[in-house]
Amino acid sequence: MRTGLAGGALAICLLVAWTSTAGAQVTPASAAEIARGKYVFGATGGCGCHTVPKGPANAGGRKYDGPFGTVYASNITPDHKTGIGSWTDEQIITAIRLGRRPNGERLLPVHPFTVFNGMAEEDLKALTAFLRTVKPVSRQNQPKKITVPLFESVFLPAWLAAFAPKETPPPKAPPSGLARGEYLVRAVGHCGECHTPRTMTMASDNSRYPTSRPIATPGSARGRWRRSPTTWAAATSPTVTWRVDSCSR
Amino acid sequence: MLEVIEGTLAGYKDMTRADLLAIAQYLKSIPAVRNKIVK
Repeated sequence: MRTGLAGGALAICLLVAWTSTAGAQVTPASAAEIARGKYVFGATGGCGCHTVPKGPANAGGRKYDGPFGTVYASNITPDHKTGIGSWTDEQIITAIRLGRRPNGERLLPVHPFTVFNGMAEEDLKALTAFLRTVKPVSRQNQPKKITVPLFESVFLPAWLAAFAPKETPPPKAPPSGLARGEYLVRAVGHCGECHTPRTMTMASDNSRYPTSRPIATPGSARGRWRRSPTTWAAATSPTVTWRVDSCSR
Repeated sequence: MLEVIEGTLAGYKDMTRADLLAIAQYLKSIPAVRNKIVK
């Protein structure tokens, strides 16, 4: 009886996931893939940049100030009009790891696509499958406000070509050990984005990866900074002597 | 960071112990960097 109920519930979940993506070219996902996608989603930090605290999950609207102006996180719920519900799987994956919208528009690297490019295809597919199961929220994206002339047409492409990290995706996600840890830190968890100081060009200073860097307080005025905490690789931190098993909890 | 991930459907807290240990193992393996944090 329980098996029957569980099977019925699973079928309903899959049906909801399928119907919510009607119109988009999507591959029907298995329950296992959706569960894997939720895990990957968590390992990215829950795509937390796309959720306003206490607001609807993944609905966007969070404000980020930078030296170029202000951007607002996009709605990544599967809403067909205001979110990513009408996007194909490939379009979602392209946005995540190459920073391009379906119309070709470039995302600003506030979305860390340069490091997400190091994610394995299987994890990106699973993540996409999970994103389609989230409750759709109708919330129009707020246009960015760029204050630097020629920023998107000239400066950003040049900066990306010259300074952006070029992660190479592994053929498969490493299953365990040091390689797994590196994969989770560098690509999925994108830890270096906050824990690595920036150079004058705003590129990551990889000679100090991943120690600390000033980060803008979400929603703050430009120029107000606070420091991200150092990781325990920093020699100035007593945690450099932490045992591996004490760092995981 | 708590503020950043508040309200999400899943997060680092949901990672398996094996993955957290793998992260710890990797972070312990990279070169130490002296970078005094100014508060």
